[in-house]
Amino acid sequence: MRTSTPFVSLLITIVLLAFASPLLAQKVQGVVVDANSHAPLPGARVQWLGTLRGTVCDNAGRFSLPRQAGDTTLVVGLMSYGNDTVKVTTESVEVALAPLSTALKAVSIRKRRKNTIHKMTDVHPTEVITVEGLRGLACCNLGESFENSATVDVGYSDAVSGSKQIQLLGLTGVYSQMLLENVPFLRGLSAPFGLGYVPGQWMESISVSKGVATVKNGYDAITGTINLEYEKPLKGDRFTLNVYENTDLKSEATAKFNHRFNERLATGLLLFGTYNARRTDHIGHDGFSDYPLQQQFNVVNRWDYEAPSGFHSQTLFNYIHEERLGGDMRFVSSMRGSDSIYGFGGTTDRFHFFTKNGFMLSKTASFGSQVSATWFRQSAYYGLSDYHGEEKDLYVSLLVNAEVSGGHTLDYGVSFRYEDAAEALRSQPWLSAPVTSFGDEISLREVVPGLFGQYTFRYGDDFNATAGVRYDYNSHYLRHLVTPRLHFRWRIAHRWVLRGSAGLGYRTPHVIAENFGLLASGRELHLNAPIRMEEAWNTGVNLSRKIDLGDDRELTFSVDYFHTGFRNQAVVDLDQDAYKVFIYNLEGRSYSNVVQADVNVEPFEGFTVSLAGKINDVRCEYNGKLMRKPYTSYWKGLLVLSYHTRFEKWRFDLTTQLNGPQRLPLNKGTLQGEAPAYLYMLGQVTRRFKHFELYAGVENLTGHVQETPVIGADAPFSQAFDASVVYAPLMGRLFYVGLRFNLL
Amino acid sequence: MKKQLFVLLIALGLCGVSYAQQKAKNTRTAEIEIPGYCCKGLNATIENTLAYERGVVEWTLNLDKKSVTVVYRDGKTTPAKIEKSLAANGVRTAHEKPNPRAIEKLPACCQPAARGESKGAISNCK
Repeated sequence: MRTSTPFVSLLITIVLLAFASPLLAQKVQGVVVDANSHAPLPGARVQWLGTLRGTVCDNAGRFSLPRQAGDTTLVVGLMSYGNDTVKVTTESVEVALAPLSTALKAVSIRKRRKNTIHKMTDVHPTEVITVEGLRGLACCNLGESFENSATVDVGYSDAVSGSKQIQLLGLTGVYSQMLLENVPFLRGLSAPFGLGYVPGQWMESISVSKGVATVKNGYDAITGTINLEYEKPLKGDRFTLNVYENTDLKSEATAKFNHRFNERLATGLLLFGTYNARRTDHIGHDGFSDYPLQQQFNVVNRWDYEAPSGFHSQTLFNYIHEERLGGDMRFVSSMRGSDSIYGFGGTTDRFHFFTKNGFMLSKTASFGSQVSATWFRQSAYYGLSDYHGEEKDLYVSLLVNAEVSGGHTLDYGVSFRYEDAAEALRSQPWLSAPVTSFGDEISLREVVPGLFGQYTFRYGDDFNATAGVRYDYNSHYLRHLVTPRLHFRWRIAHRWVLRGSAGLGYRTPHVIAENFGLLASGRELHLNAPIRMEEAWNTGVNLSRKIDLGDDRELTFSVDYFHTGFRNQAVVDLDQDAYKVFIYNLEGRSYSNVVQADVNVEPFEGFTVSLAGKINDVRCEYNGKLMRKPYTSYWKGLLVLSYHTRFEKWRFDLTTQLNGPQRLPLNKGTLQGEAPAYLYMLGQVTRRFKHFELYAGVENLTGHVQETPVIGADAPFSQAFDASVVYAPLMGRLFYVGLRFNLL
Repeated sequence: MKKQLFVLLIALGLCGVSYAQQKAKNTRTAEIEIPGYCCKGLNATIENTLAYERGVVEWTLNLDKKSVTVVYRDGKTTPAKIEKSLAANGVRTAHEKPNPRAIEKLPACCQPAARGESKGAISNCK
C-alpha cells in the first residue's frame, strides 16, 4: 500500500490526462496550500466538480488541469483536510485548504452560528449539536443536552435515584454507541448512568448519527452513534469558567484551563463539581425526596501533540467520584440497612483513559491507534437491596486508512477488547432465595479479538458508499461474530441527498445495571436462564433537502425511517405480574419502526425555528403477546425557537416538547394502560458582555409533573412499593441563573 | 426565588439601557488601519469586537482601503484602546500585533495575513 498508492494515483492521472489530451487547448494551473501554515500540500486531489477528471498535486503543491466547456468549479481535497470547492474564473488559482479539525471549528465561529447542523456531506444522517446549541440550554450534563433534539428522548430511570436514560429510535440508549472523540466510551456497566458523567460545558459538540455505525468501532452501535467532542487544548481558550445555581439550590461549577507549551504541545485541565444540598418533596407529597442529594467531582487532564509531519497524539485521563443520597426525606446515610425508613444511596468511582496516535504512512495513507481503559465501581442500595458492580475494560484498535486511488478508499485494522464485569445483587427482603437461579453474582469476562475492513467509493460530491465487514470472537459467549454494514449517500439532485444504511449488530446485555430502576420497586426479579447476546438488524433511509433563502439563510428539511428488528433481545417482561419482573431471551418478535421529519428554517436574520415530529412504533412479544414497549412515547413533537439580536448581545431560546402517550406496564398504581401526552417547555435568556455572559432560564415551564411518582410510598418495604413507574417529569418548574467567563 | 430572577432580569435590562445612552454627542471619528484585512471573512470578527467595545458608537468597514472608520465617544475610549481590543481578537492593526490564539479562530483564509505573512490573494476566501 505504502509504495503503490502514489504510483497508482500517478497512473490514474496519466490515464486521465491522456483521455483529455485532445482538449488540452485550455487549462488551469494552480497551487494548493495549507490555510494555516501556507505550506504547499503535495498529494492534494484536484478534480472538476461533477466529473472524474482530476489530478494530484506535485511535491510543491502545484497542479495543472485541462479544462473543458462547463468546467467552472474545482473540488480540492486532501485526507486530513476534507474537500473544498473553488469557482475558477482565471487560468491560475491558489487554493488554501483548512485542516479538518479547524474547518469544523470554523463552522461554529465564522459562519452564522447554528444550534444544530444537519450534515449534508456525511454518509450518516447526522445531527450535530454545537457549542452554540448547548449554550442555549442549561445543560448540566449530557443527559440534559438533548432537549432541543427530536432524535434523542430522555427519561428518568426511576423516582428515587435521579438518573436519566436516553432513547434513540425508540430503544434505550444502550443499543446505541457512545464515543468520546471516536473512542468507545461509557460501555457496559457505566452505560446506564453515564449521561451524568459528562458535564455539558466540557463539550464542544455532540454528533448524533442514526442507524448502524461503520464497522470501525466494534459490533455494537445498532440504533446509532453519539460522538462527543471535548474542548481541544491546542484550540481552546486559555480559561473558561461557568457557574450555575438553580432554585432548588443545586450548584454547579465548571472550569477549563488550556495551556500551550509551544505550537505542537498543549495540555488541558477540565474541572467540574456539582453539589445539591437540599431535598424537596414538591412532587407527590409522599415523604420521598424529588431528587437525591448529590455531589460529583469530575476531572479531565488531556495532552495533545501535533507535529508538522502529520503525527498527532491525544491522551486523556478522566476521574469521577459521585455520591447520591435519596429516598425518604428523613433518611441519612447512617440509617443504611434500616427496615423502617427507605433510603437510596450510591457511590460511583470511575477512571477512564485513552490515547490516540496517528500519522501519515504516505501522502494518501494514514495509520491510527486507539488504546482506552476504564475502571468503574458502583456501590448502591435501594432500601434493603444492595448492588455492587465493578468493571475493568481495555480496548485497543489499530487502523489503516488508505486512498487506493481517486475515489476509492480502504480502511482496515484489528481490535482487541477485554472486559471484566462483576455484578452482585443481595438481600431483597421479600426474597429468601438468591436473585437468579445461578446465584446472586453475575460475572462476565469477555475477550474479544476482531478484525475489520471497509471499502469506500466516492464519486465526486454526488455519491459515496461504504461497505464494511468485521469478524470478532467473543470468549464469553464462545461465538464467532460476523458484522456486515453498508452505507450510501447519493445526491439525487442539487441540494437533495438520499442516504441509506443497513447492518447487523450485537451487544452484551448487563441485565441488572441496565434495569437499575427496577431495584426501586418491590418487584421480584426472575432471571432463570442465562441471557444470550442481543442481536439486531437495523436498516434506514433518510432524505434531506436544503433550500437557499438568500442572504446566507437556508431551510433544511429531512425525513427518515428506521427499522430495527431483533434476532435476540434480553426481554424485560413487566406485564405478566405486577409484583414480578421476568427477564428472558426473546421468543417471537421485537422491533422498532421510527419515522421522523425535521424542518429548520431561518425566517429572518437572527431567528431560527426548528420543528420536528416523530412517530415511534416499538413492539415486543411479552409471553407470547405482541405489545408496545412500555415507557416509549407513541409520538413526539418538538418546536425550538431561537432569536438573537445583532452580535448576539441578547439571545432568547424557547423549546417546546409535546410528548405523546406511552404504554404503562402492569403495575400496582391507580394509572393503568396508558399515560397521557404532556407538554414540556424550557426557556433561557442570555446576555453577552465583552468578557462574560449571564444567563437565566426556566425548566419545565408548564410545571407538569407526575402525580404519584412513588407507588406504595407508605409501605416501601412491601411488595406494593414501586418507584420505577416513571412516565412524566419528576421535577417541577425550576428557575436558574448562571455566568460564563471566558479568557481567550 | 422568582423574585431573585426578576431582580436579575431588571439588572440585565438596565445594562442594556446604559449601553444605548452612550450613543450621545461628544463623538470623534478615527480611521483604524487593518493591514491584514484580506477579505469579507474578517468582517464578523471586526464587527463583533466593536459591538462590545465601550464607547464605540458606530463604524464603517472599508475593505478596499483595508481599514475601519470608527465613531467613538471622547473620554470613553481611544483609537489605541480599540486597536488593542481588535488585536486581542486576532485582527492585525497598524500598531498592535494580534493575539496568536485568537488568530486561529479567524477564517482560515485570513490567518496568514493576520500573522503578517504577505502572500498573494487566495481564491477560496469567502
